[in-house]
Amino acid sequence: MKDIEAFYRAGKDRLFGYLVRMTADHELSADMMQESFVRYVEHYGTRPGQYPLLYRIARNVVTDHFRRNNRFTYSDDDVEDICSTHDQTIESREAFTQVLRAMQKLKPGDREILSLAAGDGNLSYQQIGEITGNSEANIKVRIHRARLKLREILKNGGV
Amino acid sequence: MKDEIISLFIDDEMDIDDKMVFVETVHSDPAFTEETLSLLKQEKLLLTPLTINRPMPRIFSFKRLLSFKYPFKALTMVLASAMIIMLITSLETGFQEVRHRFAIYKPDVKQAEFSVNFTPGMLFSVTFPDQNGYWKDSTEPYPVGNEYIHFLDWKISTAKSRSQFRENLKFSHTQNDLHFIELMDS
Repeated sequence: MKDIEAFYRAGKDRLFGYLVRMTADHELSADMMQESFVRYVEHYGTRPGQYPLLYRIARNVVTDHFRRNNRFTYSDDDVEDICSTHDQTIESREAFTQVLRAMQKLKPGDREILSLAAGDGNLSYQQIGEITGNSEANIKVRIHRARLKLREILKNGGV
Repeated sequence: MKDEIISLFIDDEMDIDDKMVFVETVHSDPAFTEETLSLLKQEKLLLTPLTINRPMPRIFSFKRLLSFKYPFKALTMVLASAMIIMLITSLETGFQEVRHRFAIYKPDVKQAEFSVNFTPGMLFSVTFPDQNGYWKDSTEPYPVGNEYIHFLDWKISTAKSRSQFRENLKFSHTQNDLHFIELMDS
């Protein structure tokens, strides 16, 4: 049980970050983060954790949620809520708000791959490929294209 | 390929050849350098650290076990509970006192007694108290298929138990079988 507690402490912020970038909803992301850990333990026990498996479970949690609620994007108000809860300077808060808004304008697949890649650099392209079911070569191309699309949305003022 | 190498650089996914190409291109192509810097700034924003202060969830929760996400577990638990309740109920029924109630309408006699010979040579008897012509009493159940005898006014009367006319009278948690005794003409 101590192993899984250490796994939780080490991984909760990273997974939460991925979920926030995916959903742009603070409370929902926190719930999903906890739900993902619970499902992980239910499936794989309390052995030392593997992040790709955890992210795959989290991905399913997100997919289940969006399928139930029949929507894949969140409102600007949700994005504001997230940024207001974190201890950042006003400038960085505004910049992050803009990026999160732009992220919600991306297609779900692009948003997902960028969210996984943005997880503190701990997930390799190979692991992202395992999580999403794509080849490493495919991930290389898709990540870069998603970055360019995000930049394009930001250039156009997030529209 | 040149553009994609920027993402390899951002994500630390370069091998030695990629690194050489990247450095050469940065030195030779100002637009590439500009593009790299632009995407690095964007990535820095995207990497804004987020923290969450939530304790580790309770993994083994009874409430979760009964949630709609686990219908089979919940159904199994409900069925198991039902079986336990049924078992307890049946055990209670097994220990419940079962008494047989006998009645005969004979307003013209002063004494009535019902006896049963359930083992040859042994006679158990129940004396009926007088109640407005109905002589009634109850006793422990006797084994089936024994000889029933009536004594009326201290005279033995051969009797048959009309078991086919038994009525179950349920009251006060006691199951009573009402035996109507039909006397044979003597």
